[in-house]
Amino acid sequence: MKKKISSFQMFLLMFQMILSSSVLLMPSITTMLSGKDMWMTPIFSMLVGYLTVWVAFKLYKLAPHGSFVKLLESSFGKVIGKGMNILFIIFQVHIIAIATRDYGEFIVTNFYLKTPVYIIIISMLILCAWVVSGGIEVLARTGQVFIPIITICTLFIFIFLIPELDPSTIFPMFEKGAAPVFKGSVVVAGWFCQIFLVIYILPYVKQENTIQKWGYICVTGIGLLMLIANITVFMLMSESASFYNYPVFTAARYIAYAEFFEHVEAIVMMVWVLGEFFKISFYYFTIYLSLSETLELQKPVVIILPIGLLLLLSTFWLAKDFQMIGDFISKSGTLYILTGFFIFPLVIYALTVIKQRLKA
Amino acid sequence: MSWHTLITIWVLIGGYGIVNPSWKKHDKKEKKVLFSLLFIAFVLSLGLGLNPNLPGLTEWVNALYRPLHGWLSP
Amino acid sequence: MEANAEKAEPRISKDLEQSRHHIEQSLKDCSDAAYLSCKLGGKVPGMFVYFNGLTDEERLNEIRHSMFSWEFSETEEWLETMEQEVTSFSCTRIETFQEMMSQLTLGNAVLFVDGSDGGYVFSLGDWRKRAIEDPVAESVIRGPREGFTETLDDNMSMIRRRIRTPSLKMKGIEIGEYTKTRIIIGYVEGLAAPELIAEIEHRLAAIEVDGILESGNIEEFIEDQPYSPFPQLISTERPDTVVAGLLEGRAVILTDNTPFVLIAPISIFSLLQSPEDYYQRFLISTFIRWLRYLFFLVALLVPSAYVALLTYHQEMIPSALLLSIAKSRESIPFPALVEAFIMETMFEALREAGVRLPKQVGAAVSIVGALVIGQAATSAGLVSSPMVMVVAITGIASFLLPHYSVGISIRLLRFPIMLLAGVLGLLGLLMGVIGIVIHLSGLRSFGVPYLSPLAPLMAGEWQDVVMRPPAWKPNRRPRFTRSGGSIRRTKGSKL
Repeated sequence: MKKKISSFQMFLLMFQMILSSSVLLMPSITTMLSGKDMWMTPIFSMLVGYLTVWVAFKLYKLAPHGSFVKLLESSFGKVIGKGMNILFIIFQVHIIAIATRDYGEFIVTNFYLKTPVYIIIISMLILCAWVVSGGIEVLARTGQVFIPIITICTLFIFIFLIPELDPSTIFPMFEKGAAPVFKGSVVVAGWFCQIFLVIYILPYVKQENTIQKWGYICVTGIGLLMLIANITVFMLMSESASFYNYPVFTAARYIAYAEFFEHVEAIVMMVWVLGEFFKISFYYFTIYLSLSETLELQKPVVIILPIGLLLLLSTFWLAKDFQMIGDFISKSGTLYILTGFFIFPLVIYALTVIKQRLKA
Repeated sequence: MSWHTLITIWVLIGGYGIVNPSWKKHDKKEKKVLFSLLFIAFVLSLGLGLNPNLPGLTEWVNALYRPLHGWLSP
Repeated sequence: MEANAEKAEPRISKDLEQSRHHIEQSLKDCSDAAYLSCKLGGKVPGMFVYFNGLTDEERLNEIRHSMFSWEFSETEEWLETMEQEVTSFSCTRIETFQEMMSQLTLGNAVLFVDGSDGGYVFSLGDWRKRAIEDPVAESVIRGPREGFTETLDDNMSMIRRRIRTPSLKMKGIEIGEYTKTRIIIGYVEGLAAPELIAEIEHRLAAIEVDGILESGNIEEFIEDQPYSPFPQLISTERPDTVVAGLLEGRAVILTDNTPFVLIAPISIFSLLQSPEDYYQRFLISTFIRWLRYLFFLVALLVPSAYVALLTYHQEMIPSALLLSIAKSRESIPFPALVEAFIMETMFEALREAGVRLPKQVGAAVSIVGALVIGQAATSAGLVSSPMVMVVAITGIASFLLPHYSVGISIRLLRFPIMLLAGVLGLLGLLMGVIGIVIHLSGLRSFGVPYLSPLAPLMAGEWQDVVMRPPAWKPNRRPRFTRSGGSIRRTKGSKL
C-alpha cells in the first residue's frame, strides 16, 4: 500500500465523519435520556473515543501490512477470517444505510417535500462513488478543501445564536443523579466508537509516528464541538429539544439579524450535506476497500458502482418508515453500534494478543 | 420503492454498462464478483418491489437486542 | 534492403550538375525557390539556392560579389582554401539534402560548389515579421509592455535577456511531419526538477502528427487529462510571466509561429495570479487577489444561486428584494431556469461574436448590443431586469480572471451547475460544486497536484495563495522543485 495521505488529512476525515450526523441528531436523543445534564454526555464518552483510537492503532501495528482484513484472516484462519470480514462489511453497510436514509429523509421533509427520497439518495451516492473511485488521495484532498469550511460554518451558526441563549437552563446539575448522564453518554459513545473505521486508512498514512497523537486530538476536537453543540441547543430550547428530530436545525431557524439575514436554514442544510457527504464517502470507501481485499481483487475499481447500488437498496430495505429508524437509533441501535465498533475490536485485540503470546 | 423506479434504475445500469464497456477488460474473477454483486442487488430489488415493507436488517437486530431494550430508556 | 538504401538521406554529390538536378527535381513547382549561380574566384562554378521573400537578397548579392574576387590556384588544395574563405562568412556545412530543406525554410541560403560534397549555409534569414507589441490579451497597468511574437528566435532572445546565466537551458526539437515546427523547452538548470524536463521531453517526443500550428495543439497532446475543463498548462504572451515561472522551477515550451508560450506545471492558484500583482504594492495586490477569488466563485455560482433561490428557497431572499423581483418577474412566461439559460447563452454568443467583429466596430457593438438587447428583451417581457443584472455581474466577474483559459472553463461549467440548481435547488448547486472539487482534487499537472498548496497542505507556500507576500518575506521556491518533485504518469495520459 503506497503511503498517500498525511496524518493531518486523516484527522480531518475522521473528525468530519463522526461529527456530521452527531451534531444534528444527537441532542434530541441525549435530552430524552439525560434531561438537563445532556450537555455533559460528550465529556464522558470521549473516554470511549480514546480507547477506540488506541485499539485501532494497536490492531494496525499487529496486522500484516497494516491491513485489518488480513489480520482477521491470519488470526482465525482463512475461512472464518473471510466470514468475519464479510459480516463486518454487512455491519458497515447497515450503519451507513441508516445514516443515508436519515440524510435523505431530512432533506426531503425539510426542503423538497415533493421530491422522492431516492432521487436525493441516488445523487449523493453518485457523488460518493465518484470520490471513492479517485482513491483515498482525492477523498483526503476534497476533505482538506471543505472540512475547515464546514467546521467554521458550524461554529458560526452557534455564534449567531448566542443572543438567544439562556444559560440558566442548565442548572441545577445532576438533578436526577448520575445514571441519566451515563445513559446519555452510552448513546454518544455509539458515535465516538465509529472512529474505529480509521483502521482501514491507517496503511495509507505517511507519518506513522504521529497517528496516535492526531487520533487523540481528533477525539478531543469532536468532544469539544459536541459539547458546544449540546450546550447551545440546550440553552436555546432546554428540555423541548427532545421533541424535535433535528434540534440544531430547528435552532438555526432562530437566527435573524438586521432584517435581511434570516431564514438561513438552507445554509445549514448545505453545511450538513457537505458533512454527510464525507461520512457516507468514508464508509463507502471502507466497504469498498475491505470487500476488494477480502475477495483479493487486483483492479477493484469495477465494483464501486455495484456497491453503490447495494447501498441504495439497503437504504430502503432497512425499515418501513423513518419513525422506526429513529426508534432504533435510540434503543438497540446504540448497543448494536457499540458491539460492532467497540466490543468487537477489543475482543479481536485480546484474542490476537493471546494467540501471539501462546505462539511465543 | 415502486416498480417503475426499480426498472428505471436497472435500465440505466444496463445502459451504463453498454456505453462504458471498460468492465469487459477485467479478469474473470473480477467479472464474477461484479456479476454476483449485481445479482444480489437484483434479488434485493425484486424483493423490495414485491414487498416494499420487506423485513429489514433493523427488525432482526431489534429482535436480537430485545432483552436489553429497557436498559436505555429514560 | 534496396528500399532502405533509397530511403536513406541522399548526400550532396561533388558534381554540381547532379546536385542541381536533384534540387530542381525536389523543388519542382516551387515557384518561390530561386537559384543564383556564381563563380568562386572567377573559375569554380557554384550555385546558391534560396527561397524568395525569406532571404536577404542584398547581402546575398554582396557575398556573391565578394566570392567572385577570391584568389584560387588550380591546385588540389583549393577546396581547403575555399572552405577557409567561406568560414569567414560564419556559415555551417551540411551533408544531406534533407538538412538543406530545413535550412532553406528558415530563410538561409545554401551554396553548392562543384567539387565539394557539402553545402554551405549562410544565415541570411530576413522576412517581414510583426514588431514587438503590447500583448493583446494580457495588458497590465504597471509592467513591461513587450509581448512575444511569432518568431521563435526573437522570443528566445527576450527570455535570454532576462535570465542572464548559462543555467537557462533551451532544448530544441522539431514536431510535425510536414511543418517540422521548431519547439524549444526552456528551463533553469538547478531550479527545475530533472524528472519534469525528462517527462516533458518524453511526452513531446511521442507526438506524431502532420503539423503543429499553435501551442494549443501541443497542449492537448501533452496534458495529463485532456478531457478536463481546466487547463493544465498556462499559455501566456508575456515574457515576464514566463521568466517568473522559470525562476520558480517550472519549464516553458516555446513554439515557432505563435506568440503563446506554455508553462508547466501549474496549480489552480497560478491561474488566478497576474504578474501585475507583483509589481504593485502588496496591500493593494492582496486586496485584488481576494477580489479575484471572490469573483471566481461569483462567475461560477451567481446565475445558479439566483435560479436556486428563486425557484426553491424564496424565503432566503430579504422580503423587500423578494417583492421587487416578484414584481419584475410577474409577466415573464419562463421559469427562472429557462430565463437564465436563454440570457447566459445570448451573452456567450455576443461575446463570441464580439471577437470576430472588426476592431473598430467590435467594441461599440458589444457594449451597445448588450445594453440594447438587455433593455429590449426586458421591455418585450422576455426576461426580467434582475436576470440582466445577474448576467452582467457574471460577465464582469469572468473578465476579472487574468488567464483566458480559466475564464473559458468557468463559462463552460456554469451551465451544468445552472441545470443542477434548477433541478435540485441549493442542494444541486452544492452537488455541482462538490463534483468540481472532486475533479480538481484528482487533477495533476505533470505530477503536481492541481490544488496544491491547499491540498495537500504545504504550509510554507500558503502565503502566496492567501495574499501577495511583501518582497522581503523569505521567497520560498515551490516544493515540487526543491525536492525534485516526483512526476507520475496519470491515468488520463495518452502516453
